[in-house]
Amino acid sequence: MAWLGFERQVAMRFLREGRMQTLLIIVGVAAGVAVIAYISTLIDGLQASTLKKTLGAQPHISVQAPDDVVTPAALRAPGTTVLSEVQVRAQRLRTVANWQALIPVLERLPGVAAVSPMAAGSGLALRGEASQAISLQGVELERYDRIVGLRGKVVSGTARLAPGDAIVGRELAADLGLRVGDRLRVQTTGSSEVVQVSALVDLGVKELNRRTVIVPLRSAQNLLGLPGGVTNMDLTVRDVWDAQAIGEQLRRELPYQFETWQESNAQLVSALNAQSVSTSLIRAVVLVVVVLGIASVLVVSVVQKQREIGILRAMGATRGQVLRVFLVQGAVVGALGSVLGVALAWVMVVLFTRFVRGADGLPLFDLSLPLALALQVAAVATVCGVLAAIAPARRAAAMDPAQAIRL
Amino acid sequence: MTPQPLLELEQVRKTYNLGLPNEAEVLHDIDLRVNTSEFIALMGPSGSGKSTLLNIVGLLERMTAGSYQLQGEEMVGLDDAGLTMRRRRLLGFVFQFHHLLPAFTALENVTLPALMAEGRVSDAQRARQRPARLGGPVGGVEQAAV
Repeated sequence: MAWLGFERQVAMRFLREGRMQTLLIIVGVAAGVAVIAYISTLIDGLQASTLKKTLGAQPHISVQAPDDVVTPAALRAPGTTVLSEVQVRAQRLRTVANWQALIPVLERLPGVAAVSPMAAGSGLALRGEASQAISLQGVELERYDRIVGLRGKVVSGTARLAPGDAIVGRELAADLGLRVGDRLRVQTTGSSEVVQVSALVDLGVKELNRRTVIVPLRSAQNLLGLPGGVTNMDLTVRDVWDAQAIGEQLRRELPYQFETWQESNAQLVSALNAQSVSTSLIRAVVLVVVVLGIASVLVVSVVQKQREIGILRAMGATRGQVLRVFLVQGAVVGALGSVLGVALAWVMVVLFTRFVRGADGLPLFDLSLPLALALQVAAVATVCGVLAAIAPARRAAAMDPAQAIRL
Repeated sequence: MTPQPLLELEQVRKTYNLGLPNEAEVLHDIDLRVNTSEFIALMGPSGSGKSTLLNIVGLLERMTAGSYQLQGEEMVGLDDAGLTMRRRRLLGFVFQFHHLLPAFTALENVTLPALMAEGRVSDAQRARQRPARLGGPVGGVEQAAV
């Protein structure tokens, strides 16, 4: 027996018979599907681009030594009131205790992709008479590359951190008139060292490019007076949105300070969340409109086809078959509308990338309609088509054949 | 040879709006017997209950009281699915006003019950229903026309 052979054939004939009505509702569904697919692609692309820019030069989780706190001179006796004023301690550079042993512990955590120790502090970069305040970062290149993808950000030279080498931000190099191979003096409060520029990098944020000097870990330890120590450990996680949960877990288990990228970019996270909620709301409203559109057209169709339904029932069509005839119509309208809508969304995405460009003439961000999203939207629209058809279909199935024919 | 009864109605009553102020009994104790190969014309003035009786005979409506045997089987008490199956297998209709389903060809209209039952119509079924002038036998509709 052909699967739904009768239902499919009658549904298609009914749809073909009401040609204009069918066309209008398919176009309506297509418009809805196109809006949902396009908005989803646009917002996903925008968020991915914003995250990439934000997280391109910072770790997902940063591990630091606990803050120095003032230890009370004496315990307060119970039942007594003590008036005291405690001055908060100035936070000096402190090393993460036992950091070498911490690396394998962190690396073994599920979800953690890379761990990189860093000795970071402030200093001055001097060249000739010019000086610039800098953020000095001592790293192990291989590990640090896995955190921020440093090699991919090199604009000149080769990323290399042999003793005496330095990788310098592009703007800082311009300010000091530096090129690859040039030397500069890096000075901290207690020490100074002459380093040679091995590469210039663009970290994606101008302010970072203006003050970043990356040197080998050992050089930074010497310059910052932290022999053998590191000020922080940087972690990259596989899914950026897992960072908060992993951070919470680490906070419970280890006696260090942990800061996730969500905590250091709270405003951005709020903005992204607000954007996601708004997008979901728009999608839901459009979906409801699509469902109502399909349902209203099918309700009209049931009324128009009362006599035909009566004749079909008189000929021996069961209530279930009549019900399925209209469910199939909903599915067909949903599926055809989805295909058209996804094609329309694809065209809109292509037009966006072609015509909407930044001041530099380049596309604002990478945008492409993912196949998974297209399939997902199409499946949801088809299911919605079936759901929208339930009420009209039940009405058609419940019709009394004698009554329907008499009308 | 004694003619075989195709359908037999006894003491059939049909009342619309039963128990309501506008209750109307349109059929009062109707007896009808139709034998195989018999041709019956039912005549009467407008509103006399012809359509109601035919709807009951065609299993489109249920009677209020009485009995109805179609090919020896009692129809009273059958559920909706049972009535639907007997309409599909045993009965055919020629309606007064609505003749065919306009979305289907005449041949497709004739083969619709096969499509309902099987989900598809075989070439053999299609050929059997094709009129003579189109190259097939006439009167191949196997359902009894009521």
